[in-house]
Amino acid sequence: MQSPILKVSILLAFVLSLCMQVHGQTYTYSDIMRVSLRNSGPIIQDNQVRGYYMFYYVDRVDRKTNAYKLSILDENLKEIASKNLEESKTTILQEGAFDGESILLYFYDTRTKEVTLKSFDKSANLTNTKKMTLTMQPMYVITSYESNEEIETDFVYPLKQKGFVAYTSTKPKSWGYRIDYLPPSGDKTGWTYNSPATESNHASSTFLAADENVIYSSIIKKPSLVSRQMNSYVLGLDAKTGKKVFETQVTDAKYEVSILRGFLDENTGNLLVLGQYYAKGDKEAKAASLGLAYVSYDKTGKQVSAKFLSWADDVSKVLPTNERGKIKDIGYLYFHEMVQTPDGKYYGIAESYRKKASGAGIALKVLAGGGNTGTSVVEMQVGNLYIFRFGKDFSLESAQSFEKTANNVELPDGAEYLSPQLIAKYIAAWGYFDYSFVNPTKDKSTFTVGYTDWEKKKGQKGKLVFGAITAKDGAYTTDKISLETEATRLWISPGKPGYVAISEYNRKAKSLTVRLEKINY
Amino acid sequence: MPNRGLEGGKINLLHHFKVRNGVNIFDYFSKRVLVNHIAISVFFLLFGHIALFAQNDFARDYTPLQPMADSTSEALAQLKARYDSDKLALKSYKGTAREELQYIYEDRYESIKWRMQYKHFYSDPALTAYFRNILNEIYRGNPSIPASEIRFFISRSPWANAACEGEGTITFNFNCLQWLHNESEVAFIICHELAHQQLNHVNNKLNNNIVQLYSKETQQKLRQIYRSGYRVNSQAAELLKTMVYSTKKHSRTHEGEADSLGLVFLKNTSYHPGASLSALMILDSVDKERYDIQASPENWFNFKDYPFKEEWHLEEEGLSMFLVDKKSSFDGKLDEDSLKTHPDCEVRVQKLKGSVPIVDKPYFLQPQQQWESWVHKADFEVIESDLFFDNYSKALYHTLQLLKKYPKNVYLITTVGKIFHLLHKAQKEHEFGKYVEENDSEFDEHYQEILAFLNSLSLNDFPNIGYRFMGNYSAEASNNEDFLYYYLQLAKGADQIEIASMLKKEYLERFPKGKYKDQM
Repeated sequence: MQSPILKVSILLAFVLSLCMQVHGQTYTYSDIMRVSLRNSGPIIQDNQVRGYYMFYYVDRVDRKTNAYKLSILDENLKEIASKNLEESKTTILQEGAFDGESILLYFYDTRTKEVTLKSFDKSANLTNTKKMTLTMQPMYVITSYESNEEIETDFVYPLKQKGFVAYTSTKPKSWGYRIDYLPPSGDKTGWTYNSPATESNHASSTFLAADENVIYSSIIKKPSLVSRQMNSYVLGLDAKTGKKVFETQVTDAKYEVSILRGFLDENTGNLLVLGQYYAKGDKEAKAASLGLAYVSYDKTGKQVSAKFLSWADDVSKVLPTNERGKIKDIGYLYFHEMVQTPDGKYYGIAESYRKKASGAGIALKVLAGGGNTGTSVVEMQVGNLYIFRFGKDFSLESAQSFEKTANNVELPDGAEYLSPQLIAKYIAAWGYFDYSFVNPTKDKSTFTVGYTDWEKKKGQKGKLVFGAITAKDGAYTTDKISLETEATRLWISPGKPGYVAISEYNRKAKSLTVRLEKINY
Repeated sequence: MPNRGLEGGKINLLHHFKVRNGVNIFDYFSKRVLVNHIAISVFFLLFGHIALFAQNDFARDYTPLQPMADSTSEALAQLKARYDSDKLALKSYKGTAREELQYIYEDRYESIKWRMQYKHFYSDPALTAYFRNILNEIYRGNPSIPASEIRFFISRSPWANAACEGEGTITFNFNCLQWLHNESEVAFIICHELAHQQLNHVNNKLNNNIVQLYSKETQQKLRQIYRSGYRVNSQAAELLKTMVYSTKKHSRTHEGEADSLGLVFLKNTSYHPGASLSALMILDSVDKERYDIQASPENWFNFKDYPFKEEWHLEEEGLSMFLVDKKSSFDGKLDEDSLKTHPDCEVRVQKLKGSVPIVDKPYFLQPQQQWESWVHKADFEVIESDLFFDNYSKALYHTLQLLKKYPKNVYLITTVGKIFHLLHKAQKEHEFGKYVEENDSEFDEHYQEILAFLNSLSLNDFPNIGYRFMGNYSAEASNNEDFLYYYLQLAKGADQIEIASMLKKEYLERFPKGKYKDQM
């Protein structure tokens, strides 16, 4: 039978449809038309995969312009729309989002730094285009040594059938940010909020949460681009007008907080902010965090409650027995994601890491007589995955570790001078952690954490596996899918709930295969 | 549910035909079909073979038909000889065109050989005898057909279709019988495919396409396109589009020719020529599901101690549900009418009807009872086809549909259990996707429900649901070896250790030399 596999030949779909079919004998006009896949990715709504985009280079139109084919697939990998586009030859399609009413795609021109947001309606017709020019490359394309903010790869966030908000960086006088609201299809009104240029020399923003009245964003401000001193704020903007409702610093008498995620409390409508905390005056870029922080705000930005869980006292109590008291041995924890389940509990997904000496880096350094080798004398060792469960009041209920093979990440020269936290952000942005994604069901009662692992059993050669940890009814189940392949390149992305999408590019056959694998739980 | 008997078929067809075409072919159907017993006897005496049927009790059980496990060396040798002679005939072609044709011919040869060797065709003696009788009657009336060069196979392909491979092989998909009304319609379909072979349509089309593609003119145009440097693919696509439209146009012409010659062949037999028109009309409906029986999974898989969950229902939320205007969703889509390989059935009927004589000939030359038995078996063989082609979701769907009709049929009950066992095994190996289709809003609505259900089950749901389902029938079905085996496997999977142990004991007592003895 036809398995749920999408084979995208380098000869594109329309070429295949031109094939001559002679009673089962299929002949394609191979080597006549060559079309290459430029970018692909999931189209996300409310943290769930609703479909996928595929962006193909088709033709050279003139010196500066290419013809592209945009293909939209549904959550089952069936092509449901394809559109011909003409864009600059340096355009990439970076993101896709779905708000229930329209599909929004985020195009980025790497030469002009121009972002184009295009939204498509239910007939796959282009209804809205918005262009804006970035004054710097998006965070995910820079080597973030000097940057100190939370590195994100998402820039467009769908609001429930209410359009989208997009976050970009600007440089009016100093480095700032811009928040754009793009209304649903058909509605032409929208707004833009620019960070005040005067208040800080460097500010960046990310999305936290939104309801019909307020869009909440996390703001990080620093005195200068290279400064290690940073302050976190929550910004509330009027969803209809884009006017500032409030801006409040996330802080405490004793601690500074670095924001991880934001949620809306379904009962009170309050904003819940989760993050890591540091001693007042400590610099995140340099110091280790003391623990996890939970702060809630009402719609006016007034702090309602705050709770602090320390690694040393609180977290170490709930780690499994074999890990008890060994929190220091774990090294650092990088929190990838927080998930709130319908019972009001929170799940924090973290991965351990530590900075250690690199044998290869040191050897190279010696051989180079201490000169620049391109490789650092330190490397990052990525360890086990951890899932922390918190109660409604953010009391820590449990923490469980999931063992996987330690993964050594080679770092560029100069990394030895950076803090582990900063390096962690760098390797997260480049996808060097083993964590891949979290994939919740519609009601979020069940979620799956996906990761890759180089599994090595005694006496056997190591093999690449996709690991899945599924949290359901308060219990965890694990599953592993072999990723052994003869393909030139393989990558995984979230699928519809309970599935993972595995893409394989075969250079020899010039084909890309995408398939959905069901996860066991 | 549509009546698939002859009378029901006649009435529906007449209504359909009159309304849509405004023509009256009542004469073909209104006269009572008087079966000439004497003629039938002579017919069978001529063939010297009367197929005897043990009428299956379809309500109780079903035994699948025998597949062709391995073909005779004679049939393979004949296939190879034809392939060699076709290859020799390619000497008149040159260069790349010749290479391409050689490749295509080889591929075709290997494909047929593979199907002969790997159970794609049936070798059931009674079934092959039934079709051999039809074929022999066609050959008898049409000595111009080189019968010795024709290889005829009854295929288990799930599509309601027949095919001429172009090198003397004709395949008739057994599942077609589900849709047809009588033996004469089968005869016309075979005549149509024989006409394609007689007129060498397949090879001519293939050869012409390749010659055109590798002609100096086309290659020169392609070179010019490449040299232009801009919009290369768009220009090449435009060039190919013209060629493809032209090819499809020829295909449609070929179909008309095969209809005409096929009718000539049929008229030379004792079969009713009016069947040519009714067979063509049926082609309009074969893409739909044969039975419109609701097979909602909740009706089947809701148990007291394992209730049907809300999340197993079909949820229409993805982008496929979002995009409503399918036509406007695709830029640069090729013209569908120009891509059709076959003309519309109504057009074909219009062209043919003037040549169909009003005669008093039988629709059946072999006993009608046999026909009805084969049609019933075709219903069951669809499930076997689904399983053979690894489409377990379709197999479950078709099984449940038939189970509505035959609620006590042990084969159907066992097949449901077997599918849940196989899916459990597949999911453990992360091969679920090989056997279950992904949902598609264009599928039949009830099939979408089945797919949504299967796709939302967790690993342990498979044995638990299958075990409970089989448990509901354990009293009446436990004499069946297959039933016992799959019930036991599901009990094991559902952690029903004591029951599994009892079932194992029961199996070994009842079937001490059973086929699953070593898999206990």
